[in-house]
Amino acid sequence: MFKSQKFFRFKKKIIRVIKIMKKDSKAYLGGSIIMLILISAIFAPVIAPADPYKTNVTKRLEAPSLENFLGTDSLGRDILSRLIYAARPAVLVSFGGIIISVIIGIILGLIAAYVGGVVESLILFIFDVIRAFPPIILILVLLSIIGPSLLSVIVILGVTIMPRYGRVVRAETLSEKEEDFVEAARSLGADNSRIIFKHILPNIFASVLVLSGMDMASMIMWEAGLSFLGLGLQPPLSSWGVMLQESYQYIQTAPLMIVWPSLAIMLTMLGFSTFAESLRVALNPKLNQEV
Amino acid sequence: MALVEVKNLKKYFVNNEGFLYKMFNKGPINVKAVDEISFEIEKEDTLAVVGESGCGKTTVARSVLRLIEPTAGEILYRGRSINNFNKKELKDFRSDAQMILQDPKSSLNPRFIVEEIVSEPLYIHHKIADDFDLLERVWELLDMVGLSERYSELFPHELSGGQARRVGIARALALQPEFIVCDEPTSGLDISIMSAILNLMKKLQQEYQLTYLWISHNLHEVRYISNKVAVMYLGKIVEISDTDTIFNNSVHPYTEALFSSLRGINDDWNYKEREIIQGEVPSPINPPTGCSFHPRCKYSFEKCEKIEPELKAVEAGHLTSCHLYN
Amino acid sequence: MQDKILKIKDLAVEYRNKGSYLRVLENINLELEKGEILALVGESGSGKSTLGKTILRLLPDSARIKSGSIMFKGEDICNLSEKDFNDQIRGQEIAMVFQNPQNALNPVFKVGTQILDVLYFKSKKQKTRKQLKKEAVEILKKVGISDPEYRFGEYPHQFSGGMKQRVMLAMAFISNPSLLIADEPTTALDLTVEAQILNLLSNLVEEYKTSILYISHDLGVVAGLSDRIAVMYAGRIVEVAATKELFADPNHPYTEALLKCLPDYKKTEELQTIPGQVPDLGNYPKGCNFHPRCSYSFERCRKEDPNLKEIGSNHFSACFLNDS
Repeated sequence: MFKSQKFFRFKKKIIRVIKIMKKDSKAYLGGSIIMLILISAIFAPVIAPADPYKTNVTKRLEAPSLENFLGTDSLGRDILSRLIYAARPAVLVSFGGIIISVIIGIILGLIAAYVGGVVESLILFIFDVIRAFPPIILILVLLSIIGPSLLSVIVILGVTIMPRYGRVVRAETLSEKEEDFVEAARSLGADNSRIIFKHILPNIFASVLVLSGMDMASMIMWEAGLSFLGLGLQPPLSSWGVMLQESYQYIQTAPLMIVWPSLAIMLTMLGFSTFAESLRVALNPKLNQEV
Repeated sequence: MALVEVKNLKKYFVNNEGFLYKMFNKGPINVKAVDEISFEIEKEDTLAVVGESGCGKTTVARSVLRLIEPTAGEILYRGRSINNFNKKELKDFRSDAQMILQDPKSSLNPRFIVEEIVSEPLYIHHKIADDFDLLERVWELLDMVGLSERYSELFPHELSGGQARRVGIARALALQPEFIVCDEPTSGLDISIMSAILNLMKKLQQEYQLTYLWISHNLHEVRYISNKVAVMYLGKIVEISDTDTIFNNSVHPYTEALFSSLRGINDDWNYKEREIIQGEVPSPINPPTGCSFHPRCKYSFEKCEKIEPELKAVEAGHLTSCHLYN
Repeated sequence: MQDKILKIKDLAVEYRNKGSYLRVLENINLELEKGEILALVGESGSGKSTLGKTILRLLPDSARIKSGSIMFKGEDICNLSEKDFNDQIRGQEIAMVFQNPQNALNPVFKVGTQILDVLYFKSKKQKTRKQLKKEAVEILKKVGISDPEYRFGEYPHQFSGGMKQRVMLAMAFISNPSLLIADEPTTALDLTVEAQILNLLSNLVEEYKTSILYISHDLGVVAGLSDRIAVMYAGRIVEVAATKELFADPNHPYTEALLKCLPDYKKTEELQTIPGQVPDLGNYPKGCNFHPRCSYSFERCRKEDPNLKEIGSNHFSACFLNDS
């Protein structure tokens, strides 16, 4: 398999993208942050110094020390461990939510662009209905209907953000359809599915990727906000948003406590958006010609 | 039997303005891009189509390959009507009839490497048993157009205009077609590259018995490459004959106007002295009545304004649509 | 000296590229007489457009004139301040028309308004726009636009390519420039329209006695228009001669090869080609820029750069073959 021409092509394209990104400091910054978050999420049990759920009423609200690098929270739990474990819901929400948005968005967008007519109008109508609601209201209403939990947050965020992808995919598909190389492919005898999967999707993928970088960042923020309001994860599960909410009450007595989850959220958002930006530039073949 | 026969081809584009417009006008606007075109191309001929913007030559090129559905008329390939082809027959047709598009780079997917681009037709028509001899085939094709093996790994943006053009030609040859529609294949290329491409196309035609439909606005090139010429104006063929006749004995006033500004570098005239035709090509949405050329024609008379002339023979193999000769 | 509108001497132009400088124009020596049409021809990468833009300082910020002078009417315009250059030269004494008329006119303003703008500034804001309207309509009529009163109130998208180019020419001639630089003005136009525009240009030149630097890659067009031709290759001028003489008796191997590549409707013999490729901008070979592709090249060509030398009456060529 690895000797085949298909693999060679794929390899060449990936190498090219990597080469370009290697020269971009944004890629390193964003990439390392994302790696950090992912590692925290996957290897939390290995990395975390203590059990994030273990309460210890004698050691409440302690300042950072050798034993608890970031201190302890209102129930005596080690903040650092909680922070690390909380990377899991962060990753689940951002990746999960985006995957839902992107997949549904691509499917609906492609159908709208290719089938047209009544079907397209219907799909666009659905998009518009979703977008007409101020997001916060839509999300709160849906959460109250379905009931707050990690899964419901992921699905609802996914559905709320989806119209953006749908619209972008539709618009770009409509324009890529008219490109000369698509016409050339048709003249060679390519059928619609080949054109969609081999020609159109790869070329719109870059736009999708860039949007998703930014949306992943904002999904983390949404989750944090919802959990802060008590509508996201329910205790004892915790995410950075839950930690924010818990720290908020003690802001006068233990001001440092709120800093850690805030930093975590900020850092993650930064990581996603810079990496997406770097990826966008690297994926565009025309932007990277040597003078 | 001619290889390609086009009979009474019509392609109207309907311009559907909003309903307010429709309320105040008689209905949707018809852009008569191609209006009753008929011609034949024999095997191993090169039929050149010349004309200015709006004459419909690009639409003809695409209609002949059924990349655009005709509004009316029939297109026969090897005696069979392609209008009624089902999916499979159409796909088979596509492996016999290829196209080279005008812009060399934009007809190549910017995310494909050259090898991918050239081998795509082979994948589409399932002519690849395994990946290993694929590369050999691609290198063979690249060699045919004068590109070395190293080009197979490059992206389109890494190629010059001339190289991109050659890749397009290699791709068109992959399925060993009989008939190639060439839409301004040398436009945008430098003089030295253009001559190389022209020679290449001529050589390929001889070696592989190819038939060309060649769209161009460069009359010198047309002289060099074609043996028949059709002159189009506003969706109609105004004159069609073999190349020698068109260049030396043309009869239609538009042909005369078009060729009057044909200048070889050693010809003895300049733009100040030349009698230049006035006016511009009218919009195909609102063509003039009768003969569409009559407003600009210095020979026009009463009949020209009222009745559309038909394409008729003035001598064997030489047709024109002009009342002076009907 | 009085009769020479333009005299470019030893001009070199560079582009800054990632730290180093790329030499795009080298050793440019060119003269233009009053009332003359000089064509600047070459393929892509020859630097002809760059040269045209250099004269009017229309190059991007990353470009600079490394050395040499551009004497316009006896004065070195390289020394003028940006403000003086803009007020006196650009659009006044030296005007330019470009290849794509679609992009040259502002799509949100009426065509008439845009012409009025130019007239208004030319009159040094003395006359009102109302007074100038009559002049503007006259100008439209003069460049061959039918129904000028009506066209005056239309927008650029309602004009065809040929009409837009006529408007561009009109605007260029309003200030009665001494020099017009035309950068491939007819490349994007149909054949019959091209003939009309070139015919118009010839007439305007005769009327205003403007000198023209006509940049083109189309030798056929240039043959029917220009008095003299300068051939450029890879950032240098390789040959300059009167039009007829250049085509009848080319001296430089590149010119000779180029002419053999041209299809001609009177000839059916096989076209020649020039092996190899035009070098990338700024990436010129050592020695003569053309030597890798030249069938006559010898030892000296690989080492030294030939300069333009007079080899006949007003016929210059940059080739070492002429030295022996």
